[in-house]
Amino acid sequence: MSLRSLCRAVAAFATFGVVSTVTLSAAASDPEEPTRPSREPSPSGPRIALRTGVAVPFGSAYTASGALSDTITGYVPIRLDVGYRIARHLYIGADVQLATILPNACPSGGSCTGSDVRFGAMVAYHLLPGAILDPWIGLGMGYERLNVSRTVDGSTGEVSARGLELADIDIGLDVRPTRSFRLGPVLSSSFTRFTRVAINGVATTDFDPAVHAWVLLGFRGAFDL
Amino acid sequence: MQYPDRGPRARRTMHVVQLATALALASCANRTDSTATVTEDLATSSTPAIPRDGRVVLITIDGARWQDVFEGSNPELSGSPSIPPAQLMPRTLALAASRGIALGATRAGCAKVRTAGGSNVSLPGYLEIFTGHASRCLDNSCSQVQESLLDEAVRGGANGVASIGSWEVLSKAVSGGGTGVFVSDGRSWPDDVPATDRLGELVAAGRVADPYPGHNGYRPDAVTAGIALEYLRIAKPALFHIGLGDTDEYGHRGDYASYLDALRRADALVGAVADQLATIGEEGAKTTVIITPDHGRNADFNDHGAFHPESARTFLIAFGSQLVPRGVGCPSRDITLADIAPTVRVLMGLPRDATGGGGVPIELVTETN
Repeated sequence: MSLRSLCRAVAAFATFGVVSTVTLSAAASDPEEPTRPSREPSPSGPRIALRTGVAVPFGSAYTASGALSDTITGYVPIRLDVGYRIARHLYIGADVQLATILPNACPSGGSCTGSDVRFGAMVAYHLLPGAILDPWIGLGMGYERLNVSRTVDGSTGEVSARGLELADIDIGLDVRPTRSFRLGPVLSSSFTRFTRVAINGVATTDFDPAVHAWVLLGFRGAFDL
Repeated sequence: MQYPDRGPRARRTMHVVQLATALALASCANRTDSTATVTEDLATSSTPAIPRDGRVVLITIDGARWQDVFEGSNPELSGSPSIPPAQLMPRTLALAASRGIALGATRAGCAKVRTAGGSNVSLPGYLEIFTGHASRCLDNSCSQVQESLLDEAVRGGANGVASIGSWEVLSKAVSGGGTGVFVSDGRSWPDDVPATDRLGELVAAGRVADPYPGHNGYRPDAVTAGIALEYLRIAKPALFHIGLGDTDEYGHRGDYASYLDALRRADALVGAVADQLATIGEEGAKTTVIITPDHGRNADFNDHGAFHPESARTFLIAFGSQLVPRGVGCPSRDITLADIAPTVRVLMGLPRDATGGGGVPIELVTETN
């Protein structure tokens, strides 16, 4: 996928998110009554959420690897969050994410594929949990594993890198068309430092680590059970 | 020679055919074994004899591309017509054709020359060359080598072992220290080794030279080559490493034209080394010259590394009176940088690596030695 088509996809996704948010907001809101008791979620209970979007990389897998963006345009994830609203404003949960890598600079005739898997835990704070529009901020950490396979000019290389996700910072805006369903855009940044890299199946820790980031613009839907 | 405009692929193919033909003709003219062919499979060649007093000059050309050596320059990168290999590296290829072998060309049924570990970064590549083992290190911050091929040669009684290179970080790969290996990589020169006369002038010039196209303690190839040739003339080391680096420096700058100029200067150095060896009698006659890069380059030219598997691919050229002239060789197995140290051990009669798990000797040597 070229950078231009990725930008188009991100723009379309963002547009969809904004339009959906405005539409749902208009349908659900009442100017006379921004918070309606009947729509007030129960102060505690389980929550399950799905999100997707497009993420772009910054930084390097390790110091000598070169920028991730040299070979990876981004990734498209599916993330599942399962957790519990322990208080009216506070959510705590676990998450797992699977992503397909969008390769960059894959020469014609080459084959470039990859995946990114991460899991972790997150705490989120909802600023207006009873309102139709509910901004929230999340902070988490976890573990990430990146796999990239490239075959270029008959030479194949497989790089698998893993390490601690130091921080996952999310900012979102939920629209609540119903009492238990919420939907809205999310912007997240995750920061990981790989500490183990395997090249063609041979693992090593003998390298100078670096921190890389994924910045994701996506959309999330959640059910409060 | 001007080619009809049939596109870069056709031009590269024509260069390969032209190179193979030239190498075949030169090889036949100098062949002592009339039954061998230019495309001889290395696996079927005779078992190498083990000369006990062989000498080796190992020339590394950092980040040089096999494509330029075997197919000529890339017109898409240069923006000008392809330069045939015979014009880019005339001395090296002629010497390989008449007195040795060139490995790493793309030929049907032939294996490749590549890095062993796949990190495709300089210091790990040099560690593979100088230890005979795949490197687990992924970058240029690897630990100092504990025991290198050069250290082994000193312990094995080799008369003079030295490394003179442009890149100061080479010193982490060429010797673990304490064995008496002479090392002058980058601007450094050992304080306890006085450099006088012409050599002294060259060393002094190297200390103040602009590091461009490198950085910090880098000594440009033009200076390094002059020092190395003078050192070879004076000291006649039994195992001599010359490390050139301008090719990689220009590669990272995306300056393909200057990279090609650096490749031409590397070729000139190879020719000058051959000329120098021809003037020192029996010692020169016993010397095998091996030329290899530490890694290749990515498809876009300006980078290399594990995320660019195509940059694992390299080449190896060797010539000397101990070798059967084969021209462009066709290995039946992938040859790696880790195979170079075992090959040098065979050429110099050094003990084999007892640790296991390393490379294996490349079959280069005639059975008549």
